[in-house]
Amino acid sequence: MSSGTAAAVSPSTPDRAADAPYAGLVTRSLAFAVDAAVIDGAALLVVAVVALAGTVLHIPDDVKTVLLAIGAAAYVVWGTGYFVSFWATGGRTLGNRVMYIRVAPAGGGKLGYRRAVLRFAGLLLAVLPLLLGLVPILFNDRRRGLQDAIADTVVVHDPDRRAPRPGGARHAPASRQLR
Amino acid sequence: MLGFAMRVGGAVGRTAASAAESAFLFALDVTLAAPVAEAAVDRVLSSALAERSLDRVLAGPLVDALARDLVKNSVPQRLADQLLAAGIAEEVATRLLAGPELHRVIDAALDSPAFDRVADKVVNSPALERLADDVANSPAMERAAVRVVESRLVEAVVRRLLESDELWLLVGEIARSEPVTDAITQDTLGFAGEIAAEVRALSRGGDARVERVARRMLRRSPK
Repeated sequence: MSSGTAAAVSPSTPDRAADAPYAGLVTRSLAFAVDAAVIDGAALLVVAVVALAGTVLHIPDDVKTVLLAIGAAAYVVWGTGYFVSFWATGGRTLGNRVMYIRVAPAGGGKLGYRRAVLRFAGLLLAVLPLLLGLVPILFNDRRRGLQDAIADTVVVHDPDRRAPRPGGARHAPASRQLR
Repeated sequence: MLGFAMRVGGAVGRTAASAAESAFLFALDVTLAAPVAEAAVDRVLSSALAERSLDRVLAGPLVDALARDLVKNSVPQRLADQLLAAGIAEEVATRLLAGPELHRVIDAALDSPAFDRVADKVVNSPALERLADDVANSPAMERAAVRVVESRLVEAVVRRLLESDELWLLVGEIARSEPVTDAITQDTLGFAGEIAAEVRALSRGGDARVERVARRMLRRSPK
């Protein structure tokens, strides 16, 4: 699950939980669902291509087993790399971009690959015991889960970059662009 | 006796006067019928005296008096009635339409700068706009439009258009054009963006609600 965010965000106490700068469990779950769809979609596409090739080529059973092992390892690498690289390079996976949230170090600065890997390991630890590691998100003032505590990160809401600017419309209606 | 003499004298005088009138008229008829009379009239009319006389008449008050009398006695109206009743108007119109004069007048009018000014004034006048509105919104225009739409002509035109390859080439060109593809892309992205924004707003509320429920279950104070 994506988490995290920024020390750049002032941890001022919000009047309402919904207005908190830190993303809650529902928002983070939705972002994670988008990420899972992307990861699994890409993996399924690759599997489909390989399976189609397998219908044409004769592959011995032993080779199939090896291919399965390689595929599983590739899936793990792909999933890990997806989260780690996005977190380390900006804190925003594709799901985070959709939900306008960002993983950031609690003390500010950049997350970096080392802490991104640490956070991914923390995420696995949080999920394995029946998701119990995510429960602190519901009670923590900064909505931090186990993975956030391990990597010292927070997940914050990103400002809506596409909000209309004062004094001007952002998108011209399509009909006007047709001239 | 005197009375008788006066009656006889009166009768003789009247007879003499009547005879004199007859003689005068006879002499006049003879004179008018004579070739010399025509020559005399020609000479009088071609003389300088006649010309000067006519000039004086036209320059004098006689013309004004004549005009007043003509108007007073409704002579122009009576004359116009007679002319119209005799079919003069139709003849004039037919002659104008058949002759070259009308075309010359129209050409001259179209070439004159005044025509441009008049046309500009008419086109920009509010009255023309009102007239156009009235015509466009009139029931007659609606009936005419319905008649046109329901006519076989429209059906035939549409069928021929749909059968023509040029139409589909044109449609393809428009569909592939940059403004159209840009517009479709922008609208699609805009729609997806609106849905995402809605989901984000709902998820924020969901965060708070889930936390409230969790805290209530564990009997902890709300944030």
